Amino acid sequence: MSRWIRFLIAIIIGIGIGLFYGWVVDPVDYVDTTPDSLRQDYQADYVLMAAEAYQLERDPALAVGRLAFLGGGDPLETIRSAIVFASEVGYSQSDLARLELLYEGVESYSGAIQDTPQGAAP
Amino acid sequence: MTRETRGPWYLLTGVILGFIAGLLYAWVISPAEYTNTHPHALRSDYKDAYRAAIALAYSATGDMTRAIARLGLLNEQDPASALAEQSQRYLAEGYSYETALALARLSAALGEVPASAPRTATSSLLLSETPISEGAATLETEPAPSETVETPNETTTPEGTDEGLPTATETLSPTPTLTRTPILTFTPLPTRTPTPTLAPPFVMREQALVCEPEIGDALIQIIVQNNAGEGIPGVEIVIHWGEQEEHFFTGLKPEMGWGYADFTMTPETNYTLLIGEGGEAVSLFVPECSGDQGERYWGGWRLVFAHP
Repeated sequence: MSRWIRFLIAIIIGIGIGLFYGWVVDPVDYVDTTPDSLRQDYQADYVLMAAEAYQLERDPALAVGRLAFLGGGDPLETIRSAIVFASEVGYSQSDLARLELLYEGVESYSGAIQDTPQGAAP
Repeated sequence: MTRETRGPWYLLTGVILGFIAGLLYAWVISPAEYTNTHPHALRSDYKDAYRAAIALAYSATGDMTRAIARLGLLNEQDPASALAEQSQRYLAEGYSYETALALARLSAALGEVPASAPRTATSSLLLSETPISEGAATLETEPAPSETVETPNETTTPEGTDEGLPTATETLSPTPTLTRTPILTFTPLPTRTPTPTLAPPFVMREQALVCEPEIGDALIQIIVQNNAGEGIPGVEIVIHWGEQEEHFFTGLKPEMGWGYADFTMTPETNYTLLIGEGGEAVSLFVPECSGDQGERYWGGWRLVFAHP
């Protein structure tokens, strides 16, 4: 076997050791993460928390602000995803009802905002 | 140096070069997945927002079991003090008063949970097919039939600490499993704690004149305790004088105890103090003390409140 082939094999072994060390022995330790990277179940539970607060406050603007915590995407989509998830895993009926109430509230709020004329000429 | 005299060192060079390339790939080019993270890894400001959401949800539902389970996800040694500290900070920084109050209330309610009861999550993230029923508290992951997603197996179990407060410890198995993304659900605890009703208002247990010239200020020292005599952080105190009022919370000076708060009075002013919701109103004024040599100075009060 030529020296170059042995050298190549040595490099491959080194890469293997490096990957093992970097992925298994001492992988990148994530701290200071952002909420959009939260696991789906935690995200759904956060939406449920917003729904629980909304049930008392009935303030969709506040709820939308809280849902922005999860990355600032479409709040309706965020709630819809949480409802689908909650239905799949069997959240209680009362929790599902809270999520649906939040969805309806935010939907009405979003519709009201879209219906508001923007910069209408006098 | 001839080729024959170089020896096998080139192999070691190759391994080292490969190792460096592997590390570069594993740490920089394609590091471990930055998805499916856990709330305890959130940046501190996001943790604050998460904690606030827990407190607001608790304010709406009064479900202490669920609040404890959620707080446990943040893996904090002392969730009650974290809540109290955040409440104080929110007040000082001008955040929503309702949020600060919710944080303080949850902190106070948590402070009243008997020390023997778990104050952190019983969040066992298990892979099981257990059906989920209504209730709250055990966080559980479930596999679903078909999708294939790599997720670590995670188990969180409560564990006692030196202070007797259980905290969560986790064991993470890096081995990927062919299951669906774990799901956070709430299943009932074997003995579910009833949703707490509003605690009875605090009543004054002790009022003592404090004549200590070294204190300097005419202080009202307030100590709020639970039935076990432990200080309760986050209890709202409202003090009125003249046309003014001030709100503050116990626990601001942890070195004095979690149930401690104080307020500096101005002489010749009448104050009315209210502890918690519906608590007993106490009228106060700055007392005058006299020293051994007959010198006069302003004293203070030490008030101890507890549930009846």
